[in-house]
Amino acid sequence: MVSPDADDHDLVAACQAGDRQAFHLLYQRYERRIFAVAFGYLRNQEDALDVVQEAFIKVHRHLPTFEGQSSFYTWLYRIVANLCIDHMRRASRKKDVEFDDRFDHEQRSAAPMPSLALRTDPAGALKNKEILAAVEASLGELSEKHRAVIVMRELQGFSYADMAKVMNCSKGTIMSRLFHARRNMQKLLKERLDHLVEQEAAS
Amino acid sequence: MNDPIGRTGVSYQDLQRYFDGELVGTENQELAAHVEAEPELKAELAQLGLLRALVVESSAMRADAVPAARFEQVWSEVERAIERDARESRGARGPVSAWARVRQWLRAARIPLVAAAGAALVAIVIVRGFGVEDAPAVAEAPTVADPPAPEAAYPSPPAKAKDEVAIENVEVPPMKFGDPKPGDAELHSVEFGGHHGTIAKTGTVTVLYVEEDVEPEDSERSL
Repeated sequence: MVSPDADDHDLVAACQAGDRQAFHLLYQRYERRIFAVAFGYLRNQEDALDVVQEAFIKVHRHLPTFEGQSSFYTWLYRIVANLCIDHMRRASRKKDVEFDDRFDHEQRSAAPMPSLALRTDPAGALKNKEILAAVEASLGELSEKHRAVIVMRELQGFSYADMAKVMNCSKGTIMSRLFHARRNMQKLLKERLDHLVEQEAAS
Repeated sequence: MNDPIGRTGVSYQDLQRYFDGELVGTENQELAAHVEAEPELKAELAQLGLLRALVVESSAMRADAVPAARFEQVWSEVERAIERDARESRGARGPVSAWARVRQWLRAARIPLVAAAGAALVAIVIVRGFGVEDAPAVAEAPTVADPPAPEAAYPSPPAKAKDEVAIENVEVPPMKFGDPKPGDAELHSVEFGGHHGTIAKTGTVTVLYVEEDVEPEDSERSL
């Protein structure tokens, strides 16, 4: 029986040899990380859990043909990204409010960047429920395409080439989309945090 | 996006590529030198870093808030799917229930039962068609009986319309039901002296319809 401390490579090899326990260990190792990514895309706990389930079923079905050319987590993250993109396309629950990529860049660069007062300890600041809610609401307000590039880059660490492949577009489009997504996120976050500061000052 | 940031000559796009690790070699080194020299670039990088930290941390907190039991439930579903896949790949099936066995037996006995019921119904129709009042009961004579002779002892049949076929003297051909055997064979129709029958199946009920054939029209048009 494979050790719980075994690395991904050994666990994958054990799974390929039919060790169900090894597959459970892989699941336990990645369940929350995969959930975090799926939630990043979908902003809904049950939808994200469905993706976790679908992803591991898919992984198990395709493990026999997994040759290890990329790492297991890269492979898994790609599966999750594809599932989430498919899910978002199917659902289309929200209208696309994406910033137009043809946005006037001079105006954009002339606008002041939001000054965020969380620089010293972001993780500590998020313990404040209102700040956490502001971050989550800002992510939720992004268009699906903008949120997808943010999650792929910031949470999954995808390269531009990987992102272009998953989103079926060029690297140039990814760079542009990422630029606008980040600016948009900063703007939304600043508005919410400024509002929080005003509320605190008033109270 | 391609405009330079401040007076540095470095575009936001290049800074973003630097931040995301998309620059390599001398390009990467040159940009690192610019960042060291320009506080404005450093400030932009800090903003990008802060945004990343907030996204990562908030997502991790959200994941930590999900109870472990919920993930175990998901695992149960995953296991169920794995077992289903394994069953399908083996081509194995679940155990046959008693009800399924009974249904299988009834299915095999369907043709003989239908044939016997059909023959009984045919006998009734024939007898009634000749106006026999004291025809044997179906339960007593489940097989096809010879048509009774139209002797005077029996009341005369009702007067027929002009265009109806006189069937009294029609010779009834012998029924050609062979020994029925279980299988997939289906009875679709029966024919006998000027009558024909159809078999319809509705759910589990099989019905035998018998009616008189319509006389062919003797007209130029029908020819």
